[in-house]
Amino acid sequence: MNRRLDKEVVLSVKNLTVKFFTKNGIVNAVNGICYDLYKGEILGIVGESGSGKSVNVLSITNLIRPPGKIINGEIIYNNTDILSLNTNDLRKIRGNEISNIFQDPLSSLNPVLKIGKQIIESILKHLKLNKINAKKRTINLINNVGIPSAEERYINYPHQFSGGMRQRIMISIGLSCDPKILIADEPTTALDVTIQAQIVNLIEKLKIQYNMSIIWITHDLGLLAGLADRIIVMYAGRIMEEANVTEIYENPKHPYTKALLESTPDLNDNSQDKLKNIDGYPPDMTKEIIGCPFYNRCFYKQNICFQTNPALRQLSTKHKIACHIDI
Amino acid sequence: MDTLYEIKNLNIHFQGNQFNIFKKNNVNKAVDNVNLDIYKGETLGLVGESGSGKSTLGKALVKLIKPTNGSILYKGKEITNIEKDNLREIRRNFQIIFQDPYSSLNPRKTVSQIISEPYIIHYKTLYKKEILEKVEHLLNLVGLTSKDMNRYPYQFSGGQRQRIGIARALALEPEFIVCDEPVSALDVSIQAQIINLLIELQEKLKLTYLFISHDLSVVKKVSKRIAVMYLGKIVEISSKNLIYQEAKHPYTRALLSAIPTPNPKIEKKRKKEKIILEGDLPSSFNPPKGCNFSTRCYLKDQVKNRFNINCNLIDIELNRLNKEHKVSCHLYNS
Repeated sequence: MNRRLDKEVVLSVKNLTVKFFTKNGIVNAVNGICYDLYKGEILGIVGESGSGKSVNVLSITNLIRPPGKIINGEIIYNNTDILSLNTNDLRKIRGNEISNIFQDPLSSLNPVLKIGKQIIESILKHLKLNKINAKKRTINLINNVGIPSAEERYINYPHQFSGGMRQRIMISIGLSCDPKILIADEPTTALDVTIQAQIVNLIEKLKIQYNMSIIWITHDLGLLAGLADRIIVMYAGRIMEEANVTEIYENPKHPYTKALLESTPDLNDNSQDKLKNIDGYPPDMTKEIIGCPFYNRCFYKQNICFQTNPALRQLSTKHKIACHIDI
Repeated sequence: MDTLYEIKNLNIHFQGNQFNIFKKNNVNKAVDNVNLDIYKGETLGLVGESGSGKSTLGKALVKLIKPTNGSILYKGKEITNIEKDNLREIRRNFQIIFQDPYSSLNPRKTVSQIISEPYIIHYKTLYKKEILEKVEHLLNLVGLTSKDMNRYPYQFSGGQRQRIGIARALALEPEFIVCDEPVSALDVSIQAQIINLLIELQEKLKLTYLFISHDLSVVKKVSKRIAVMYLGKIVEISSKNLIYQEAKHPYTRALLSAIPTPNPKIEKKRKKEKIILEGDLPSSFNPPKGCNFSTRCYLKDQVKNRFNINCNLIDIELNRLNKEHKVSCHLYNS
């Protein structure tokens, strides 16, 4: 499987820097990150709240709004820089070739529009279909995401669906124009575990059916273990570690990843030991951080960590870390 | 083991819109005929999905919600209908820690005001200086410092606020604390800090916890016994090890299999045998007839074939399998 992943880069993020200019100071949300997305893979991006993971993927389709601003960087898709496109060209990509699913389906759907209307909207916009064919396609989509009696549900409003069903509708909107890339921003965080299992199962099935690449954002390292092909760990707006999934879990090289894994409760762990916790709290993002952002919580810290910020360095072909120390 | 709480046939129903003449059964059975014992010094984990009634049950135990009927015995004393002064007197024995550290602290009060409030209400004779000493002691206990006393909640992060909530709950030296999803709103690295703090405090202060959570892997870390709730009923209760190794109820099994583990190899193996439930939790206004899990159960055909019982017609209650293990399923009802 990994051999297949090696080939084609579909999306490439270069030196992305995003800042938010707020009343309380400038928040350095994303600080010069670089990564690639390969064709047909699920790339998991994991991080705690405030680590910049959502801001990072919102920038991919240039969805950052004031007070936020993309200061620097390129998003290369199909040999063009998305960030340099004008609004019209951007619209051709957004929702069509790259689409988003958000965390909270209730607030992402329009409460006063029938769900059929919300799904058909982007189909009519992007695909050259007449209304009858567009409706057929919409009903197919609703069926495809596992909502029974699609034709009757077409005219229902969002409040008539449960949380899991609403997320299925969000997914059908995301898939409406056969996207090449699906960005799923914590799609299951607001759902119960049994419903989460349904949605994960559905997206995995659809990934193969639609031949997509997926960026899956979450704070749950457990969820990504069975799902992602590669994982990026973010902290304080930086990439801390990037590796394929087995490397991350079995051989984590960054102290943060290691600590995060040790503090995640595991169902298979029968020991009576206490969880190892990470002392302290994440840094204040409005302050300029000179050294490593994880410095004050790290077990392995040395003087150099305080003085210079470690760059992301290659350990092996599939493993990168941003740390001065080899552990 | 001493029993701290004895809950018998507890029902908590919420009345829906009374003026809606089109709906007949307009009653939300949030907690439906629950029987439960909580022993002194233990941590009982209460697990269930949203809408299963776990928080309602927890709030009833600390007298924040009045039960519709049934009885709650605290140390052998009936507290279901206790009111006013007697209630205030007994209430210092049980406290609650809430899920959301942002909305459960008054934003206009300083930390020392928040934590000293229980003393002002319950110990009217204490001097201010004595109260402040106690507050300082509590802050140290939960890992904060006396410097934090005059700061406001917004100046703290989520994990620190949860520590303030814990300090407030501990102020009156209670015996029993309901932890209502205390770590769900926190990040993983902070979650571990709070879990460890709760375990430490339990050892130090001999506390009894009811630990409510939707996350079975968190509950596994803290609990001795675990009860699983579904749609207002307890469907399985047992010691921790039995639940995780030999879960009997089909819902518990599905719940366990739905939880992802941070281990790609195990996860790959589990994926093949994953039980994925169909459909959603039914509305508690209109629960299914018979076993309330029957609408989503994947074993009901098996029950039909083996025992010729229609799960969606015949009611089922908790049955004792052995000394520790109780389950409510027709498969184990012999």
